[in-house]
Amino acid sequence: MVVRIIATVGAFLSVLLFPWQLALFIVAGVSALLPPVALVVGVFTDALYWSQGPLPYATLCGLAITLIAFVVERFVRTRIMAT
Amino acid sequence: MPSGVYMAGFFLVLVGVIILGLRFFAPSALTYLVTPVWQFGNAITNGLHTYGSALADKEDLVRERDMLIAENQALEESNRGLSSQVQDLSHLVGSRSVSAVRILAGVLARPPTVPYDTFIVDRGTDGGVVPGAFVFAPGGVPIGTVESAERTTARIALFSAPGKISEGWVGEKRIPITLTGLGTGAFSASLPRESSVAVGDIVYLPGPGALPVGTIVRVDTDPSSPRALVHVAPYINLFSLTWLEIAP
Repeated sequence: MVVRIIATVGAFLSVLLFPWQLALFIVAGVSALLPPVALVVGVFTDALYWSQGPLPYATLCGLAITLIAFVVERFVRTRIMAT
Repeated sequence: MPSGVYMAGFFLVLVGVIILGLRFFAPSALTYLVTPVWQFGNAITNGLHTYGSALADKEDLVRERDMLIAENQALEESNRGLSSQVQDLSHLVGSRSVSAVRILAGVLARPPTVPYDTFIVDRGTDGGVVPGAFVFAPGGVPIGTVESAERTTARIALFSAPGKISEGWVGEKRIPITLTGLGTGAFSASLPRESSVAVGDIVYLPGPGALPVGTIVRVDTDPSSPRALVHVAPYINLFSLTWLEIAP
């Protein structure tokens, strides 16, 4: 649990400190541990940076990563239970 | 999935809802909370840059310094000449009062940390910043407008944001041009093929007069099309801006 908390805080800090491409990579990694992180960090990113005009890409991207992470997590869990 | 993870997920969703609430009902609080982290990040970046410069070869540094001194002198000369020309022209066409007071604002967050063409600066309504004000990079290059201002911070939307339309001019004849933002300071525009624009022509945006923002770096023509596609590279590197000027 401690690892998840540290990773989640790291994901939030990454969007403040690193280029967005690196932050995306970090958030995707943390999402493997805790899928909703990507969505919440995406919302956080858009709350800070989004300007009127373009779509809120960070939130949409976070939503996509969260869904993928849930699907992968469920698939892996099913495989583990089957073996 | 263990119940602890479900709880963490629920907690995260709650955090997301709080963030959204802050964004819409108390945007000042959100930026106020993260400003120290942005400042810490900028301090680390500047420290690393200084450390990297200290490791550079001394001979290279001396050569670079001499080159910069010479360049500075040339620019001073050029500036003096231009100032006198402006004075002469002002006498000829009459003078007009233009407010020269601008607000100096430090950049807290910029691309590529920011995934959009947006800057966050450390001056807000307390410092006299108002939405809609023009924003200039050092040297007077217009880069965007203030989109929203909180008490201590403001969000700057750049002219070069992807898809954003700006009206300007190109070349010595000041041919009107409609610029479309491509992101990170670059623009594109479509012009009639016979408009005689060429690589190296200067592109201007309206400010106090016509202010240069970049140069044409490529002109794409197609024999089957009556129009040419023009690509504009910016004068300034948005990634390295640390200070901006805001005209209230």
